[in-house]
Amino acid sequence: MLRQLALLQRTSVIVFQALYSWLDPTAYIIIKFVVPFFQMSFFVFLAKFTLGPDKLAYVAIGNAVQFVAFNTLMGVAITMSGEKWFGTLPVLLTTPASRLLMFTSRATVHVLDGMMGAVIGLLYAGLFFGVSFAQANLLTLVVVLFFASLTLTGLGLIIASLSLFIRDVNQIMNVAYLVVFLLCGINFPVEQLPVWLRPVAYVIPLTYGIEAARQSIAGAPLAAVGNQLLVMFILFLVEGVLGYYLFLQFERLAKRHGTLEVF
Amino acid sequence: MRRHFQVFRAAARASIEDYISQPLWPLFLTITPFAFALVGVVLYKDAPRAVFALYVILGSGAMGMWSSTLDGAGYSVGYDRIWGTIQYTFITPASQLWIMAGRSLIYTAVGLLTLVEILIVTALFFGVQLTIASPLAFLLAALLTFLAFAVIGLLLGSFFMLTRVAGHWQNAFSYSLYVFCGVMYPISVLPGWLRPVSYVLAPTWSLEAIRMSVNSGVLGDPRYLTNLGLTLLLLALYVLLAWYLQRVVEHRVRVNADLERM
Repeated sequence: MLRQLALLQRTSVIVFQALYSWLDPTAYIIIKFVVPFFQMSFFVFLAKFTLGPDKLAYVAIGNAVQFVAFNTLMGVAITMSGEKWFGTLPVLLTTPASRLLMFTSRATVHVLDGMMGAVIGLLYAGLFFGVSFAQANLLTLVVVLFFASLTLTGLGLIIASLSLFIRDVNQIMNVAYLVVFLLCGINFPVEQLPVWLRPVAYVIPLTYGIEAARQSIAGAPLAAVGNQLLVMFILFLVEGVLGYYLFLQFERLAKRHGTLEVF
Repeated sequence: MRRHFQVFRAAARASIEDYISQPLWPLFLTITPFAFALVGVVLYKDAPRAVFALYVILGSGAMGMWSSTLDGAGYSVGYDRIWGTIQYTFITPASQLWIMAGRSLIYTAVGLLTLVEILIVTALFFGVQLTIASPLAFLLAALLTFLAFAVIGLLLGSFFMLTRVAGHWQNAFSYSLYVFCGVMYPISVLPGWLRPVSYVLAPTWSLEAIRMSVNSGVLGDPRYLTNLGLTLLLLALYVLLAWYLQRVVEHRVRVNADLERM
């Protein structure tokens, strides 16, 4: 068991380093610090003009927390297509290595780094956009951010699995991120969406995570967001299991059709 | 000059063929600005129709052009590197500046697709239509906006040759221009200390001219003419800067021999 965990830790770190080409930290700095600042600024200024200054905090917090998706949705999703791109996927899938380990290692470090992304976003929200953390319940906030980051990996892993069989999964990944961005109550409440779109929002764990983060910054104790955390965890389990099932199925199909190297 | 124009035309044609070989690519290029414009649609839904049209419809067109220009500039360098063709474009006698110009113009044009997408969505679901009272003034300002984005793409194309992480810079630049040029809100919303950045970006002025052109009798309006004049002045400066940068970058990548570094 310990050996397996050590292996998971080593594999996770290697997968994460490969994504950002760690020989040069520029990519990491741009994604973690520069892009979030400008993306958040755009939507906060847009909200300032359209909704008035009293809605700034709502939009700033929503945008800050959704930065977990950079890692746990896009980062996780891209790991498999990266293997395909660099020609290592067939080698990886001809080894007898545990598929569960291979699958979970795609997400592990991203969960922590996703939280870090949200913290940076909240820091910007406080420093530049006047969000006050005076009432915040920090314990609740940390737990919520961890859950927000962890539970979105289920969706990320589903998309990662698709890259075993689909030619170019990057566009699907972009579309998935934009769906999350539009529907999860980041810039406006879910209730403002057309009724037929709301069910989609409710199966994305981040919808609950963002709302719980807003409540924790307003001072809510952990118990007050318990239901949201539970729903997020259940969605994570369902999506994670579905992702793993797809991973195994697509591996089988790709091997049968000889499409592992197609991109 | 004729030789340069041939290079420009060939680069433009190659970009068009790229799009034809991947018919969904233009849609993917414009999907992000389209989604962001949808956020604008929701946030502006209670605003007066005229304000909605000015900022959401016209703003989405600007975002689409910019996003497509930037993606095109970044991807063209990135894919040249990946496919191993970048060194061939450098050892031909063709000017890199004209190659990039041909590509940039096509990418910017493809970005107009976002404007069409948002026009359809807003007309169908919100009943909002864009009315242009001064079509000539609008066309003039729109043409300058188009050129402004294409020339900034040209400038950034040189920069992308120097970096391994062009794709990540693309994202950063894309959002920064949305913020500073006031594509979906007036720049008066920005804090005073940020506005000087807006002032040195040509699209800030050309977009303002476009917004003015929805009113009648704008062609003789000194404010409209000032906006056009400032856009032209900045465009001329950008072209000079792009020409200079291209020479510096070309020399540097030849000396350092790191053009193919990924």
